[in-house]
Amino acid sequence: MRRSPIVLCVILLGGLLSSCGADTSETRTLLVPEKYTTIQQAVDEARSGDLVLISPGVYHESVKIDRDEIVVRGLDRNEVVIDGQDDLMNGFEVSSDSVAIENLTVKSFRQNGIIFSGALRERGNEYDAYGSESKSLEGYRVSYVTSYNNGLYGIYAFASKNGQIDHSYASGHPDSGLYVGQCKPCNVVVRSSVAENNAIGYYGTNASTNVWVVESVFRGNRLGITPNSQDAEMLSPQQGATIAANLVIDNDNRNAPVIPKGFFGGGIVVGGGLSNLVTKNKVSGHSWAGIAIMPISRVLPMKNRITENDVNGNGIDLAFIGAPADVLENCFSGNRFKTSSPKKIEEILPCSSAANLKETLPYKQPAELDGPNYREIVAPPRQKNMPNAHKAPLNLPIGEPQYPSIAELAVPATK
Amino acid sequence: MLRRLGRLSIFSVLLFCAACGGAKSESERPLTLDEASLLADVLWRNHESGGAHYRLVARSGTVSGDIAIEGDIDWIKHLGYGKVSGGTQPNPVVEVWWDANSVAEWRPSLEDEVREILPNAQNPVLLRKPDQVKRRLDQLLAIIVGLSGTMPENAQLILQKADTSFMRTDVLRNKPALVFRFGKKSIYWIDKEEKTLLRFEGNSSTGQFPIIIDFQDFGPKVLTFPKTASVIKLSEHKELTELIPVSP
Repeated sequence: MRRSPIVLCVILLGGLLSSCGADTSETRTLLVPEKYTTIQQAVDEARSGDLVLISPGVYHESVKIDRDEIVVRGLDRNEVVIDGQDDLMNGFEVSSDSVAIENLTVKSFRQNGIIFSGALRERGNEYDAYGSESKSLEGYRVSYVTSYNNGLYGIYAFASKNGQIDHSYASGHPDSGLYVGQCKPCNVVVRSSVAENNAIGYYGTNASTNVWVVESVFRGNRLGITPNSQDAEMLSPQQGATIAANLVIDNDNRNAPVIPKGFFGGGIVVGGGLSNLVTKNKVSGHSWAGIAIMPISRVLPMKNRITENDVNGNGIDLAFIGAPADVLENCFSGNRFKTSSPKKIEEILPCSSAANLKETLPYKQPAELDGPNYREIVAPPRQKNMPNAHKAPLNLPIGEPQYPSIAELAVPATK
Repeated sequence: MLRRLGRLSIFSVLLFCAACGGAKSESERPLTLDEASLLADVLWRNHESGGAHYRLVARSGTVSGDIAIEGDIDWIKHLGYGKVSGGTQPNPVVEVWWDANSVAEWRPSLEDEVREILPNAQNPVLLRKPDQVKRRLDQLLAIIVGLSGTMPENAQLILQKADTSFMRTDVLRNKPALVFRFGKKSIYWIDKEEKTLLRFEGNSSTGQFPIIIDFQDFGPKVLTFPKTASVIKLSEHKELTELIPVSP
């Protein structure tokens, strides 16, 4: 997509108001509400490489961003609040490339707190919504954002690639707190974030290739993490996600909002995914299963590897169900666990040799339980601010994010 | 209490439903996100409103004739009430109450037979299980109650849904409306200002049986099933079942 010469030097800026010698235009800081009454006015005025800087206050607006290469930042994560008042649709709708949203709170929108979508932009007379290769929004980042009590998703990237969600928090959603969907390659890293009290913590429908969910906390949702394949979205089947070094606990919370026909009581569930790696997670306190592999939407799970996780205190710690085991090359190895289905799962579905199970174990979906209205979920506590929000240099999301090194990741130490 | 719809008005309204599932006009265009969001939101708004007054007209084919139903729907309890007119079969339904598990019908032409069972009841009704496969009336009732959702749909998926488009602006009951094609067989009229569903147009998979449902007076509705003392369970009286045609 569009790339201006200013971008490269903006990244190197030590101060926000410096100009770039390679371009006659200045990098500007657009102040809300001091200079612009609304965030939208500032965004509409922004050029590539600009920073929209928002002072503490409550802003009742739905912000549409269609400018490439800008950063929208709040000066105080807990005091800059974008409030949809249960009337506006989305907090931020981003349809342009290389946009970052930092250090603010979005709440009470009827649909999504923040959405990045390659489906939003007009292409001639058609609206493609694919998310593959060039048919994607390219470059996005959400950092130090709190998103809560919105009607669908907290932070949502759809048909988008080259992204990062970090140090963010999502709660009180009747669907998922964090959602990366319909992208291939996604090239996305979710890290150092928290999702709790949602129907689902992380949802990764048809999100494939270079998908990393690491070093985050998923607790008190109805379902913790689920990379999955679904026919309702394009680019099925899902494949190529790494779920690593996360703390996944107590995702059987009846007091979290309910999603119709949703799962209940699962920590990490690979639903019809392919070639996913689930490793070094600590998973406990789930009434149904800690880590499970199963089919969904008629897609059989294949070549998924469950390794080196610490899994205990679940209805079943490790499970492989609903699909024939002997031909699909799913495996379990090096996990700490007590219970499994089938029993002795690491002997029956080892990673070092062929599977030794002919039968298909039946799957019975946990009973659907009523839940509260998402609007009644208690607001989250204050969250940690972005360091040095006043002066931190612009960091535009351009190119692929920095991927974690599995070797450097470890099972979280504590519950 | 409720206005009856004459057969002439049923027919005339259905004539305007030529677009139900019909070919696209040249003016149709893809949705914007705002429009997809409206569509994603509208059935949830119905749910949030609690209920509405509705007026349905449906072409049901040569066997049972055109049907009109007018009444109230409670989208929270999934409970409905309606006065029924039209239809060509004997012992027609005149009033109906329904929820997910039951349909209660007042068929006054069966009064003599009913009096033999409940001689002292006022306006006794016949209670049966819904049968959306065989009974056209039950299909229509399911559509009325089904036009609500407990959460919004995903606007992104609506954007890429086949045969979904913006059709035109229009005016309905003096309200400006946005008209959308939503899939092959449905058209939604959404109040431009209130964002509520003013009209739903649908059709069968064969395109032969269009229906139109108009909604107004959104808000909680207090509806109750007929009292037990006036209810006859059809499952316990096979002789009555034989007097009731399958559809409507």
